[in-house]
Amino acid sequence: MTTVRAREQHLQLRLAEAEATIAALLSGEVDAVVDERTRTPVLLAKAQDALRESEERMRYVLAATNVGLWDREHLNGRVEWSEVLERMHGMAPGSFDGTFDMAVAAIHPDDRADTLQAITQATERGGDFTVHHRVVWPDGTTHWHRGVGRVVLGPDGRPLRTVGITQDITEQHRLEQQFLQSQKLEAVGRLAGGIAHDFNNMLSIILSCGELLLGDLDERDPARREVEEICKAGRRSANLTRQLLMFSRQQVLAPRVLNLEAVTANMEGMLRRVVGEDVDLRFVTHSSLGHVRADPGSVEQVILNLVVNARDAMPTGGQLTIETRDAVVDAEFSRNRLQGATPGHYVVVSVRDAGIGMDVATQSRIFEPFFTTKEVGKGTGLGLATVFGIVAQSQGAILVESALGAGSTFSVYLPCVAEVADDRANEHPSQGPMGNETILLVEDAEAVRMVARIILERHGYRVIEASSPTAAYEHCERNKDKIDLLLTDVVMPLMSGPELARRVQLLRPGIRVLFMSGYTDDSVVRHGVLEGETAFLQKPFTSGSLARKVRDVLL
Amino acid sequence: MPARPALRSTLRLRLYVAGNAPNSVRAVANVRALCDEHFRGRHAIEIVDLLTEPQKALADGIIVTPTLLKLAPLPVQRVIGNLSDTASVLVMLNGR
Repeated sequence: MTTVRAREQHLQLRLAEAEATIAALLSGEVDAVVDERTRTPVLLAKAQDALRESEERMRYVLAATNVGLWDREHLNGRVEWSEVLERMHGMAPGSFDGTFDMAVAAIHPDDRADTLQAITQATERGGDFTVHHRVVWPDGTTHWHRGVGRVVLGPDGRPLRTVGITQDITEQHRLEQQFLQSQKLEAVGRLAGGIAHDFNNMLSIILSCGELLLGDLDERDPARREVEEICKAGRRSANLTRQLLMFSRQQVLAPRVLNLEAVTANMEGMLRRVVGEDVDLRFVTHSSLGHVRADPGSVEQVILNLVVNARDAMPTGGQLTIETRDAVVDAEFSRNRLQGATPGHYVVVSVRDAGIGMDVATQSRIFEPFFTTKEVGKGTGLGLATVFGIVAQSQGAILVESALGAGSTFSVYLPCVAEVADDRANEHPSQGPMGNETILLVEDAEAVRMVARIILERHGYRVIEASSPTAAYEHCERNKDKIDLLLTDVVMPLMSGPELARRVQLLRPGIRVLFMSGYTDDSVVRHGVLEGETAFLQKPFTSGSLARKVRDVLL
Repeated sequence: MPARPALRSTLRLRLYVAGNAPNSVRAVANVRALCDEHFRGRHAIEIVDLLTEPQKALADGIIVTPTLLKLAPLPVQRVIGNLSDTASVLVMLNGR
């Protein structure tokens, strides 16, 4: 009995001591405590300082790196957000109401279910989780967040607390999407370009032979109609392959210094016919318009494609505005809106319609080849893909502004150059000019060579044919006859076109050179054709395009 | 009227402190002032620094500083804190 009593007294004493210790701790009268595990003293002031310092350091780091902190207490349902996290939701400090519901409400409706499911699963089993989702700010803008959290379970397996951090990954997400999109376009472009090459040589023959055959047929010949159909189909095919090459950025461009206002003004008549009477076509220009360096034909193609799309977006008519203006692009605008184009001075051509507009999903796909919103048979899905290819190849960028029901504006940004416009560039090419010079024609494909010879002869030229570079070179060595132009294929066995040109120019200084090829990919680049101011004719050529190009080079 | 000491035997005290930490310095000053006033000539105070003699503290079951132990007369008793509540401390020292 005594022992029990003694034990009771001892326990009471210990309890009193414990209470006194707690009271002293709470009133701040304690300097040090003995760590129960290590059995060593720990100075409280130092520990408190260290804790304060660590918390401060953490706060600085989180603020500087824009990392938000959150803490959810499951027992009372309270949620705490750091100021940074409030800022990351577009909210003023202290305006988060501390409920899980408010945190969930900020998540984008489309991402809410998936995010909640990930959180719920982690809450049930404990451990770590990661979520990616969008949040909608009070001002309506959308931002991407990445959250990493840890769920702490109690001994009974029920969740006690979930803590974690959140980062704003909007910029990173945008760059990833941009990268994926450009990779996709690149891949499709390569595929499309590859197919287009192979068609070019064949189309050259189909088109040229068709034209020659037409020339030989009597006006009343019943076969004329069929041959005309062959030529028409050939031209449509050539147009399609040219667009594919443009999209895959393998079209050989002949850039010149242009005044975009002059280009659009020259196109006015044609564009008015294209859009029809229901569409009110307006041209807006601003003074001090700078010059750009671009391929005139391609720029016309870009404007035409955009205008055709604008017209199709307004089936019952409406206002279509083509505006040309100067613009200064800064780094931020470039990063956010212009696919990271080099900051600087640009000349902008905008095509604006008052049509049906596009939702965001459509906008994200419009530059993909074969993507079309037009009904089957109305569009190839190559129009905007071609625009994209040409603009990218011209070091430009495209800004698309559109919303459902609010029309669309496509703005093409082309870098401004200091040079003066080349007036010839703005002229319309004439049809098949004649000449009387002597041309050395080098082409290993017999059918193509024959067709080219006939076209040239019909345009008044004297033609010397060579089926190989060696034969051409030997002719120049053995004969002293005057040759004005060397018209040669680029990729040939034993000797390339450029190599032949170099050797012939040594024998005949002053001879003009024109290359022609159905290939415009690496093989041509390797042969050095795409660089510099070399004259180049893209296959398939027609009678008119060959005659014009030859005249151009001989001028 | 000054309080009359209830004890005539020597008062043996041991005060555990943590170096020159503020509460420890205060506790030393407080216990000295108290003993000078109430137990002059018949008290012995041993000051032990927890930081330099942790083993001794552990042997006495000390978990925080400052802690004042009254070793004699028995029973052994302890007060925790900076001893500024002199009335309570005096009650313990007088064995009441």
